[in-house]
Amino acid sequence: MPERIWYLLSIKLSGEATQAELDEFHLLLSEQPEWEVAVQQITRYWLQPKDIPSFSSSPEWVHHIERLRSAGVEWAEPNSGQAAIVTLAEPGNRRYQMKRWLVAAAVLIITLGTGWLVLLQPASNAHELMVRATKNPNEVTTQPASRSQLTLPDGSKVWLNASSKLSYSNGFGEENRNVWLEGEGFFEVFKNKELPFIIHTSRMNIKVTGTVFNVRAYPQEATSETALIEGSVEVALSGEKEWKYHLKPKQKLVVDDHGISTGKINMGAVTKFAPINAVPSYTASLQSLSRPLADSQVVETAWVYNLLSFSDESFRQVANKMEKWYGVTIILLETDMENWYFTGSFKNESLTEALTALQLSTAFSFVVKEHTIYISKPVNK
Amino acid sequence: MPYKRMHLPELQHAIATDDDQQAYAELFARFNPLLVLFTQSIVHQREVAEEIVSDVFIRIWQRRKTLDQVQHLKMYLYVSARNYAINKLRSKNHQLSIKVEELSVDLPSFSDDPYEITVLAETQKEIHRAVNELPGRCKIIFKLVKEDGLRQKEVAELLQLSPKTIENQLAIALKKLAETIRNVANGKKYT
Repeated sequence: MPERIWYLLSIKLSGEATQAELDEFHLLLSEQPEWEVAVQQITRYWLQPKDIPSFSSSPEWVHHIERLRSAGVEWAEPNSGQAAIVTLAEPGNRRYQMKRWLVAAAVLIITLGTGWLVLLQPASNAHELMVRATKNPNEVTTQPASRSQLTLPDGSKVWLNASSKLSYSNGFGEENRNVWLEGEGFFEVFKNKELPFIIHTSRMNIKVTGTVFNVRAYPQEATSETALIEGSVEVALSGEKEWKYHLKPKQKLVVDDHGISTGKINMGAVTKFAPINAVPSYTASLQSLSRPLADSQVVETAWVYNLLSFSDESFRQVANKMEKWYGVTIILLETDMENWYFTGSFKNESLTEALTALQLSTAFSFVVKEHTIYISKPVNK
Repeated sequence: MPYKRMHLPELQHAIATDDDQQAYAELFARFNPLLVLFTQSIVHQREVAEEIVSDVFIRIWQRRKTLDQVQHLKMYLYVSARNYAINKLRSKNHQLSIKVEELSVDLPSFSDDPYEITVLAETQKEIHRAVNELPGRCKIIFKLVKEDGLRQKEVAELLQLSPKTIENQLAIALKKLAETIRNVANGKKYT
C-alpha cells in the first residue's frame, strides 16, 4: 500500500483534489522534505506540453474519409490542390456569430485561367464577402474590413486579416513552400521538415517547419512583427542572408524602419534589444506577447477571434488597426495625439461605439465624413 | 476562430447544428491519435485499432444531429472505442471483457523540437523511461489520466475497475517515479 502522499499528488495533478486534500498534501510534503525535488520534477513531467499532431490533412484523416464515404455516408468534399478559402469576416454586422460564418460562408474556389474566385453563398451579404484574386491564380487578397481563412495545397492554414495579400509560387507544396505576404496573417503551418515554409515580407523573411504564429507586415505601417504562438521560427531581415533571430513561443520580433525602438508598446516586456548593423535603417527588438485577454489568447492574434484588440498602443497604431478593421481612413488632426496610449478590445461594437469607448479614457472629438474620421482634441473643455 | 482553439463543446455544437465538416475534422485530429493508442492497448494491433476508431468517428458523423444530446463527448468517444474493441474481440474469441493485465501501451515520446530537446533535463528523460517501464495496467491508467486527461473515476468506468484500484495504481506509479528521481539525484541508475 503506497503512502497517502502519492495518492494526493495524483489527484492534485489530475485536477481532482479538494482544497482540504491540497492542504493535506502540502502538510505531508512539508513533513517529508526529501521528496520535494521529486514532486517538482513529476509535476514538471506531468505538465510537459503534449505533442499531438492536429492537422486535418494527415494520412489517417484521408483514410478515414475514404472509409466514411465507402460506408455510404454523405460527405461534401471541398476541392483539393488549389487553396480553399472560407471568408470569415463580415463587416457591418459584427453581432454575427463566428461559427455561423464558417458554415454559411462559402467555400471559394480559385479557378485557373480566369483568375476570379467563384463565390457561392447567400446573396444577402455577397457584396461584403467578396474576396478577389488577381491575375495570378495563386494570389488571394482581402478587402478592407474583411478577413479570410484559406487552406494552402500543403495543408497549412492561413487566416488573412483585412487589406492583405498572400501569394505563392507554382511549385508550392512540391518544390518549395514560399509565400509572399503584404498585410497580416495568422499561420498554422503543416509540419514538413524537408520543405521549410518561408514567408517573404518587405522587411523580413520567416522560415518555419511547422508551427503557429502571426505576421503583421503592412507596407504602409512603420513596424512589422512576427509573433510566435507555438513551435519555433527563424527570422531574417530583408537584405540579410542569415537566419538570425530564433523566436521562442510567446515572443515576437518587431522591426521598425525608422530606427526607433518600439519598447513603448509593451512596457517592461522588451527582453532584448538588438540594433542591426547590416541594415542601419531598421531596428529590431524581441518582446513578449501582450496578453490582457483570456489566458489562451494574446493581443497579437485577437483578430483571428474577431476581436479588435490593442495593449498600451499609441493612437496612431490604434488608428491603423481601426482603419483596417472598419475599412475607413482615420486622420489625427494634431500630431501630438499620436503619443496618447490606449489598451482595449472590441468585438461587436460599431465604429462610433468604439470611438465613444476610447473617449472615456482620453477626451477627444471626432467627426465622421463618409469613410473618413477626423479626430481632434476636445473642442470645449 | 481557428478550430484548433475551439473548446470541445463548441466543436460538438458546430457538428450537431451546422454539419460543420471542419469542426468534425478538428475533433478527429484532436482525439484520433489518443483513441488509437487506447484501442490498440485492448486489441494489440495497430491496423485494427485504427479501423475501430474510424468506425467510432463514422458513427459520430452519421448521427451528428443527435450529438448535442451527448453529455460528455470525450468520455463518449473512449467508451465507444472500448465497446467496439470488446465487440471485435468477442466476435473473434468469445472474450467478454477487457483483461486489463493484457493491456499494453507506449507513451508517445517527447516532441522532436530541438529547443525542447536541449532544455529537457536528463531527469525528465529518466522519468519518461521509468513511466514506460511501469507494469501494463499501471501504465495505461497513468497514461489515461496524464496524456488523455481523463478523470480518475472515468478511467475506472472505462477500464471496468474499482475507483480504489485506480487510486492505488496511480499512487504506485508516482511513488515509483519519485524513487527514480531520488536515485538519479543520488547518482544511481534506476533499475
